[in-house]
Amino acid sequence: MIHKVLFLLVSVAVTSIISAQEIEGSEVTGANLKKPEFYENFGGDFSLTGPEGKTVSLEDFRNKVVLIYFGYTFCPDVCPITLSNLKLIMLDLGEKAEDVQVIFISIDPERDTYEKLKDYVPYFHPTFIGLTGSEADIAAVAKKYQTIYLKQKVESEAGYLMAHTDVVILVDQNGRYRGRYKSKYDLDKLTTDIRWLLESGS
Amino acid sequence: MKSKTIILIISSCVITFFLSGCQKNMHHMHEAPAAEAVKDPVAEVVMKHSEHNEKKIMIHNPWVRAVPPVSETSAAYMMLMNHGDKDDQLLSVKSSNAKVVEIHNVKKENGVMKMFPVKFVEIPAGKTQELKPGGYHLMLMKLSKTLKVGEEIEFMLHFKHSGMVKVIAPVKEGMPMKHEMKHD
Repeated sequence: MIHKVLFLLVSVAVTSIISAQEIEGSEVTGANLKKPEFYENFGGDFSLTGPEGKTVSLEDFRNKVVLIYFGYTFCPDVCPITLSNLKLIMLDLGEKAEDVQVIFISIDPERDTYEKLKDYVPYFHPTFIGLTGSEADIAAVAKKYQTIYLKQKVESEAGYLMAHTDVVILVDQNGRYRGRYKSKYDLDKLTTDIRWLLESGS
Repeated sequence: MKSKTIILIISSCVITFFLSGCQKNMHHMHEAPAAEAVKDPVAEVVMKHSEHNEKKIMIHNPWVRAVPPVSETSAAYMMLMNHGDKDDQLLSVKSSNAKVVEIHNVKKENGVMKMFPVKFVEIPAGKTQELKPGGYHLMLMKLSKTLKVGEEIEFMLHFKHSGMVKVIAPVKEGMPMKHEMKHD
């Protein structure tokens, strides 16, 4: 119960900080994007375990627009929906998709090994990569990227399910956090902003 | 927060309007024989008898999400239409392709998506209840084989009043959501 209340308080706090900042932000012309300084306290470099068990860092994708989504493979609904939608964006971008990298970060390392992610994530698009790590490492990255998740015991064969923030985070070619998009409704906005970044160079 | 509440109210109105539209159509379909039955006692008995045997639940647009071969789970969606005059409930589901099928719902709380099992899904008399992405769905676990696009999966749905209803659902790619009605 205490956990639930705490979780609610934290999520309310984070949501209100984000919405308050959204009102004050100045927008870059021609897109929904804010200036990079607007999010200077968010995001930043990180390293986690990628396919083949090798370390993958955000820095590896400089000069690419990066889309980060936190989810888990046991999720039958919102996570595959988002990955399918991101695939549509990649198809929509055509050749320009080469300069876009989608990163799926598991918030369920207990189930999601790097081998499992290697088989799961590229199913949606061959260039997508899945990252995992220790609970502490994932928690640190999620915190940087304003993502909340919670393991929930449920009366189900599943044993537990993960509640999690359902947003796609946009990172520019210089590794700077540039925005967050509801994975279900803001995809047109996200596509516009990716195109803008690809054309302007950052 | 206020605007969210307003959006919620507006979307409930829209959904109610939509559903009442469906309801009207269904009534229209059944109104004529029912009126005749009142005039003719013999016809009324026949009507009641046929009603007794008739399935009150009709299922439309069932589909199962295609998932990577390594996936342990998938989801099935469909529209449950209750043509009867009695509320009904979907209590449980079985499938030959998944050892476990549970009824789950998804809720968004403060920007966090939360999935949880439910004991049943209510299908009010004359209404349609939709199992859809981001809402009620059948959670398939312990899949007995890979779900590939084009295959068909059989389900046996158990309703409180309508009993068992068989459904055959095709496996499809996840449908794009971005053009859906915005009722978040």
